[in-house]
Amino acid sequence: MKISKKVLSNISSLSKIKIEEEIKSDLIKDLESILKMVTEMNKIDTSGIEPMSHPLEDADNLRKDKATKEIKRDEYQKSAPQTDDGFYLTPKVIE
Amino acid sequence: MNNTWESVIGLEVHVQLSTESKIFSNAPTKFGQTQNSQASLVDLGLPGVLPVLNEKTIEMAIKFGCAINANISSKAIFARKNYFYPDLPKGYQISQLDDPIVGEGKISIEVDNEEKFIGITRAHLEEDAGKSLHDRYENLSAIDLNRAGTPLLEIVSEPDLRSAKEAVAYLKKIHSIITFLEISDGNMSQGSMRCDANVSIRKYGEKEFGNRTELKNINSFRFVEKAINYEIDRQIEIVENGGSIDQETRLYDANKNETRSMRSKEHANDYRYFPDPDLVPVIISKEKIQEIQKTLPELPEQKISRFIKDYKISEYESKNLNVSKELSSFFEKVAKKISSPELAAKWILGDLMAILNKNNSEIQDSKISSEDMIDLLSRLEEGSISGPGAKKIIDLCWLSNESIDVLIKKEGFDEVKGEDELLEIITRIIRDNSKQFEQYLNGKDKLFGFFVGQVMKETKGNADPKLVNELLNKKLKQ
Repeated sequence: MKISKKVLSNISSLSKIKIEEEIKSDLIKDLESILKMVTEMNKIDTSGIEPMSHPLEDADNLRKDKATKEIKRDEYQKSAPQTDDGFYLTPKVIE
Repeated sequence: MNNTWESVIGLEVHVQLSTESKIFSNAPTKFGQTQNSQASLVDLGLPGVLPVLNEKTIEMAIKFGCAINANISSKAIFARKNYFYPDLPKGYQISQLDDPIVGEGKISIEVDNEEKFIGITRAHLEEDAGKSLHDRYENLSAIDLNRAGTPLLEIVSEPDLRSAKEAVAYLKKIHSIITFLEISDGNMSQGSMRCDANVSIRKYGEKEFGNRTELKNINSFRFVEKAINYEIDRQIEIVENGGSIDQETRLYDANKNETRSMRSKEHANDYRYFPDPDLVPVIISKEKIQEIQKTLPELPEQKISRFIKDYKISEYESKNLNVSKELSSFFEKVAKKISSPELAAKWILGDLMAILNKNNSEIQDSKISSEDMIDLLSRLEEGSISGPGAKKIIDLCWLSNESIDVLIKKEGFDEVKGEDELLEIITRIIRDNSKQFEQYLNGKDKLFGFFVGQVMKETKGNADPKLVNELLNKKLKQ
């Protein structure tokens, strides 16, 4: 399967990763080789096999519904680039 | 109504589950707290943190599934829905795609006295996102992650609804089920129940669906109806003028009563769902489901029939009393304490509802308590206050903090006139108005009303109007 520049730019925008022009052709080669491997894997007959979503199917790790009182907002906010009045601030993003 | 076009509607309802802590973290879920004071490291999406599922959310989802006779999945799997937005710091929302916890079921609604079944495609658990405020800072968005991680049950219907009215009836039914089950407070103004609507039109008789638009974030019963009706009209106008409908997401603007396009097609969402490796599948045993089934409280439909049987009220009254759990239990408290439950139904659905509606209030915020209602209706039953007097007391009680008894005394409504006293008053009034009395005797029947008015004025309304009529009739014809 071929990956076009347009598909690459879509992947870049979905993942919010900026791709420099000079690495684009190498990246396309890499992605195409990954897809080739996936195509190989798709040849395996998996009919009748239940898909496995997780290797640990029987682990029971539920939590009781209890709330903590230990929310250390001011401490957490120390690692944020910009905060004010308890808010986290980001560049303006309006959908 | 349009005779050419049929509207086809499906709803996605997001219900906020009333847990103490979030779905994947132990942060509290209280509403209206200081910004980011309810956001833990997990909700902030910090590297290295792991989600741990709150078992109560599973139980609540199963409860809902049992209530609508749906299939409950024996294995529930969580998936990542990937997209970037500042109020979703992880870069993905944990949701469910395949194997949702609640599978197909159905819900009955009633519109214009006709029952109709609406298919439920699925209901799945997911986490809510935070909130972005865009107008607080000039070039920045302010992010409050208190809501991030709040458990949601998303209930998806089949495209079985055919009008905005049916959509409202369906939404009200969901609201009553979740509040009776006590899995959510259903408070729409606080966002505990939100709704997206998928709307399309087609010619009557056609089998194929038209292109649909998705209306986002409609937060009241009234807006659901308005938003859908607006959208149906918009689509009909476009198609009748030779245009076609774009499949897109539109936002309803309640202030302008219109919908407008939100996302362009070029940026169609691609969520790249995949099973979340941080969360193991939840295995749900048959025993667990049966156990929960046994704890299900009485649901609206069961309550409606029981009220008709136990309290001898009409089906209409019973249905209206059972629109919410709060109203239903308010009525039951009152009905159990007075001799005539019919009287309780009449006054709660009549005068109490009227004053609640006038003040834009729900029964849970009523300034007239069930105890107030019991006091007032007991007085009415024993005849120590008149109907018109009781009506006035309801108005006064809403505005003051005094008890019913104090209000009745203060206003002098406790001096309901007995038969002897009334006869005395009537005799006096006839004597004082001899001219009118003569005219009445000479055939001016209309003057009967004049005499009723005089008696009511004299007694300041503290008289049973029926008795006044009866006594006047007797006296005037003597």
